[in-house]
Amino acid sequence: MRNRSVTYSPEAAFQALADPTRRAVLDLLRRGSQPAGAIASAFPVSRPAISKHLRLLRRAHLVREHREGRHRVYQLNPEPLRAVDEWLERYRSFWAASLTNLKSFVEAEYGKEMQAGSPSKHKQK
Amino acid sequence: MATSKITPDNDAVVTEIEIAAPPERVFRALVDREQAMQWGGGKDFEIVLWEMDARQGGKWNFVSRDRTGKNPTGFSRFEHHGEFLEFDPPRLLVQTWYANWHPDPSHKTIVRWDLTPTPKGTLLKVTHSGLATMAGVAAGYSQGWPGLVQQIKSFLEK
Repeated sequence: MRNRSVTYSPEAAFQALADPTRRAVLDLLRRGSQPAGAIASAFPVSRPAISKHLRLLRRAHLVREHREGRHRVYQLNPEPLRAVDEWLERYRSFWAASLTNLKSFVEAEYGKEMQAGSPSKHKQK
Repeated sequence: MATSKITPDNDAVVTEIEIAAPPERVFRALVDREQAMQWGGGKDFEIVLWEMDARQGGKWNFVSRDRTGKNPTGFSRFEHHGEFLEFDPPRLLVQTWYANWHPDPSHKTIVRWDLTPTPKGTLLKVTHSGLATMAGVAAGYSQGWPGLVQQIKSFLEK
């Protein structure tokens, strides 16, 4: 969170991916780099609107821009998606660890209760 | 060990574990404060607050603290809260789950606990869903991009 400049933030990627046009732009760039004009003509929205989407994608580092003569060319950079992936990964390890703790705890307690031979009073039918 | 996987649409984390105790006993560990305080923490986290109104429509709330000081989210205090959508002991527990460290803290995710009796004891399955749609819901869009992420990931890994 603190060092946004060196690590990609999943927040920026999530936000950029929230819009269907931006997702479609990324999808288009998957087939190869495209000049801004070609991207704009592929969508039924105004050029300024596309410029705005491209700017947001650039800020999220999902695309890179360079100049070729008079054209601005956009290239897909899938790297920040790793941050999205890592975010899910965090939950995966959180739940795996929690349930492993739960298992050790319940099995130890239940074992003790069974030896003591009473508490849950034969709930088994 | 628990097995945990992310669904292909990237929207849910599904974790399963078998526990050698009956569902009634496992359920109690989930909703009893004394018990949850004991198993809910761990090496990296410490539970500092745990409150639960254990009934349908009841609210729950827990706060944990990072012991390591180097959590990748940059947060050190993790606040979670929500409400029980379903409360059916010892079979099912469904709760909404909001967290201060999510990209959108007001975005609802859902945690579902399914307890199934087995010859050995209980199969516990936890499904945490609504994760991928985090930003999408705010934009009035709730599906579609997870597939794209998957595609781009395979592209990246080629």
